[in-house]
Amino acid sequence: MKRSLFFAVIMTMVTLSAFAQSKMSNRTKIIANSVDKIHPDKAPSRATVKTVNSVEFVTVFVRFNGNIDRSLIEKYGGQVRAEYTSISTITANVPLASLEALASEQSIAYIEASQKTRTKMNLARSASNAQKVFDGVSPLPHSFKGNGVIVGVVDQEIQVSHINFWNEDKTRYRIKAFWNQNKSGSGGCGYTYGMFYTDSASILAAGYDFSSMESGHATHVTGIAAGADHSLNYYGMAGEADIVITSTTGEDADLTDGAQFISHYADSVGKPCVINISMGGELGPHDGTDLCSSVLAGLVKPGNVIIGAAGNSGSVNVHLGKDFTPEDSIAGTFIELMYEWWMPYALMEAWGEAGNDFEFAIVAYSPSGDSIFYSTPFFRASQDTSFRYRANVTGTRPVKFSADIASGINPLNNKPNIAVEYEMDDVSSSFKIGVLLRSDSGHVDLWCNDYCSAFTDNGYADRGWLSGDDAMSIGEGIAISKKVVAVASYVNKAESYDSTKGDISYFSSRGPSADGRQKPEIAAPGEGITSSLPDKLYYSYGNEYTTYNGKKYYYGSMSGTSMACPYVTGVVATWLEANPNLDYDDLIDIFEHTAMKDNFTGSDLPDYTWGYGKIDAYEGLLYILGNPEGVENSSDHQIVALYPNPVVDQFTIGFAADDNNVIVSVFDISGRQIMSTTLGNISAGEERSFSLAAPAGIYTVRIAGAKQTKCYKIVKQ
Amino acid sequence: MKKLLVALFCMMTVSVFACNAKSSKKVEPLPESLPTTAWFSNQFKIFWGDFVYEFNNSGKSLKKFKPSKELVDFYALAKDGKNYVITGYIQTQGKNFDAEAVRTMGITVNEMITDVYSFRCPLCLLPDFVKVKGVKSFEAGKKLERLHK
Repeated sequence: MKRSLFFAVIMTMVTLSAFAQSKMSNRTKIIANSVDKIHPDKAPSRATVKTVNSVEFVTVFVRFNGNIDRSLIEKYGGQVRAEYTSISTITANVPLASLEALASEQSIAYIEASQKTRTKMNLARSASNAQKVFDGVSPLPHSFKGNGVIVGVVDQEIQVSHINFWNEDKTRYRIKAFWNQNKSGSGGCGYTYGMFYTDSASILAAGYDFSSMESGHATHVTGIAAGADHSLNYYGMAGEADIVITSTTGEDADLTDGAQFISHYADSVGKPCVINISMGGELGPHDGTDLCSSVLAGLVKPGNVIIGAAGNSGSVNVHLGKDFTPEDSIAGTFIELMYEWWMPYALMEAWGEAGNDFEFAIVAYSPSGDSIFYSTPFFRASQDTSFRYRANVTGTRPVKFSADIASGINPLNNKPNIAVEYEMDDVSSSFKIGVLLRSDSGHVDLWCNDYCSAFTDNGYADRGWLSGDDAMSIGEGIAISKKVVAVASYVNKAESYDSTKGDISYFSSRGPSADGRQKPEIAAPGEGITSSLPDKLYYSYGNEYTTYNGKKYYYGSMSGTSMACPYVTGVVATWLEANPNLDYDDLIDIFEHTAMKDNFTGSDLPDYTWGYGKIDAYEGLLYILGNPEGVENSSDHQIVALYPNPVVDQFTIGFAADDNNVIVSVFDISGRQIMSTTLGNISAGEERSFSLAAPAGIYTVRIAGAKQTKCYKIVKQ
Repeated sequence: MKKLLVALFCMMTVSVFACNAKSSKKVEPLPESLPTTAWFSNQFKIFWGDFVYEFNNSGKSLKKFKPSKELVDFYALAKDGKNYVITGYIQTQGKNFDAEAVRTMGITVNEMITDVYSFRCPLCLLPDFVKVKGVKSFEAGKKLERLHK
């Protein structure tokens, strides 16, 4: 009997262990099995393991069957680091000894240990050929690291004293100005709030924007764009650029003040600048007419460009678009609250077309009876009003919620629109809360905030309910602007089981804009990017560090279009070194002619996932410098003739075809622009002559028009 | 230079004491409706509704009124010292708008592009700000998120 019981216990333990192990990746199994063997000093070579208060923690991805259950992680003494709701996955620090027990829980689908990302930034640089730009690979005349360019960053959570913000040999501190809007002060530099620091000593003395930080976002972002610390190979794109930082409050009006400050600073020192904004919102018209978008567009000019993160709403059904006709005049969808237990809110905005009104109502639906048993009145979008609606129905079918509603026609785009702040109080789980849209004509777009809500058909598509999608999910306010480059994220190295190297990141927001413009414009590596982190993080398990003058400086990995954005910012800084007059349209031209296409992007670009493709730092630079190899495939027809060549005092360009917005630029062998003339519209057969007052040597002439671009090498005698 | 310093001191003094000056007035409920002289964005209208509801039920003066956490979390409110400011944009009618007069009230306005200003208005001054002449439209600011996962 005892023997039977013994075997039964043993078999149960073996079965449970096997059950648990079947839900762990092979590498995770090895880590779990070596619980008694791992020495903290050697752990970093195998996994992200750290010892805290004598307990070894391993950083893991945990995928749940169904909803994420944070309490399960806490039950085993772990801590949740981040949630990826759309794929029911979290990252967490879990005690190594509890890994197997956690895996045996019914609600756990899979556990995968996080990997070290030692060479990730290096891999990212290679993926976009940025390394060739730093190395000055022929035919480049020298390396390009953003020399003479301002990299501006408007963000939050910066350690301005990080070693990554000095130059490579640590002889020059590169942050030239720092505006901390989050610190009370009397302002400066023409602004009346926050604290300004405009010399190295005061910036270094300030050290940080916050005394403690959640993620160190700005430190990470700035490191990708312009870090120069080579000690761990995590340096960024433009390590010679000067840096200007605005730590913003997060309100868009303050953010645009911060961008304007950077732009003014660049003007004051006579340098071109590229401003990185890895922030965004969800609600608004998504057509670039909101004032934040308009203001940013107004800051862009030759030599002053803005790069924005496309957003992380990919794979989340934050949008629903509907075309109405008299025969198809009503549409319904359900509101899915992702964190109903602690954030029972949905913020929604519905925007129609100018001249086409529509109506909006919130309803409660009974699936068992296939009936709408409660409805608010229909609110007319064109009616200029606002009020607080309260539903309070008791009894067998209780419905209790509040909704703040405002509507009217927006004078900036003449579109009727309704904004709703919905807060659920008490609705039986047997019922579903939905939204109805009603109109006889025109198109209506409905958006919600992606961090806590989505639109779903709840499995009742056959009854006419609609599900949302992730189209038109580009971040509102920044990336949606008509003159801001929106950057999508792709996987440069598979970070986990649901990432495919080379493919678009599942979270990367999709275009187009609501007015049909191309968004995003370009894609860059944005997953598992390692860069600088502040030393004031709440949690810093697994982060590496380098030591300089006895002080530790940290590095760690983050993902998001936030990380892809500064990648492009840094690349553009190297391009501005070659041509300090680039503007938004120039960047689009460069993307169009040089961005990488592959099996993942397909050849039919631009599209609303990849934009013009994956950024190619090297080919883009060659294109700017006018290297024939760089533009070989870009011009299909001989549209101009340039003569004489060699040039004595002047040269003439003859145009064989009509073109618009033509600009002729001349660059020296080092890539410096020495002449630029705007010709405007050109007719076929027209000729223009140009004086070339420059020393003898080899020069590149770039003739760029709306229809065609051509580059020529010329010899000046 | 001396005049400039005096002017700066005066502006700072006005800004610091702007809310205090209002406190001497009798506490009266705020109107639920916004003026009809300008256009207000839907988000602004919703904010105004929540702000007025909270204020009118607080029994406190504008100077002593503290917005709830919900109001701060939902809307583009930033803390400036001990006071909360509402941020956003205004589109003005050009010459009819007197930016200096608004600054003298204690409200920060910063011209971003022609006739479009960002603003930071202490909550205690908002009832006066929405009535300022020469403003075509008010757009409440938005809270932005850091876009990492």
